[in-house]
Amino acid sequence: MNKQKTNTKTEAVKAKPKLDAVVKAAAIVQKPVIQKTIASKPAASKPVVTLSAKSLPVISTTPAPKPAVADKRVSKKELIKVNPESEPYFVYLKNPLEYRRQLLECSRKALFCLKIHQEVILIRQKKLEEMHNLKSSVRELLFLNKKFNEKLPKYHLEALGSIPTRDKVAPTHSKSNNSKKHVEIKAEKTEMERLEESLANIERKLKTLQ
Amino acid sequence: MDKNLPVFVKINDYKEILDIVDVMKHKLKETTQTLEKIKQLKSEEDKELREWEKNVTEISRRLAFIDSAFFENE
Repeated sequence: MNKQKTNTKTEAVKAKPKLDAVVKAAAIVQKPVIQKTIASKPAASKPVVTLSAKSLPVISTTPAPKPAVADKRVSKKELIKVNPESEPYFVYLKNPLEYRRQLLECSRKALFCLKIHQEVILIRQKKLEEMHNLKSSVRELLFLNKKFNEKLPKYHLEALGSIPTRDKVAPTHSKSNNSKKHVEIKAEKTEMERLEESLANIERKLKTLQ
Repeated sequence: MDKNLPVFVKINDYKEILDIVDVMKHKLKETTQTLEKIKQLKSEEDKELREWEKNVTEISRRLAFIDSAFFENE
């Protein structure tokens, strides 16, 4: 009995490495298949590979669910219409460096334009200041001229020559209305009108002197 | 009354008039200088605007080139 037991034990010990070798061989045979399935897209009929906790591949033979529109054939144009992002469209450019250069040149010129704009603004500001200076100078000149005229001896235009007199138009409205209108006109007078009036006055004087 | 009659000015007024004329001369000089500055600024502005125009023309030319290159396949 004891001998028999020891024999069976030795047989079992001998058989164990044999079994291990068979399992290892099976794993070696199955490995490339598993790698293939991982590399290629999971097809409907091919086995789905999942990784166990010990990172050993376990093959399940159950087929994956088929997509709903698998059989439907779609043309390229339709694909582009449906989802343009999935099929990007490329255009070949012969000389891309030249276009890049041109675009950069455009940007450079546009920046130059902006720079010029700033310069023009500065110039205009300076010009405006100078024009203000000119205006004040001319005003001072006008004032000095007036003072100069005052220092000269007084004279009457009538005494120097005949002045064309204007016929006075008879007033049609009452006095109160007239005075109100006069005030309004005075208020409405602008700088331009005032200057025109003084210019007309000087021209009238010049005419009498000629 | 004759228009060409001689005019006599008081001596005090005459001195003041001379001063006024002097100030007027000075002011006129200033005004001329200011006018010159304005002229110069105007020419500068014109120059800048011409440069601006040149740049815009250049940009439009380059853009036309790019546009023709990009859309010649259409």
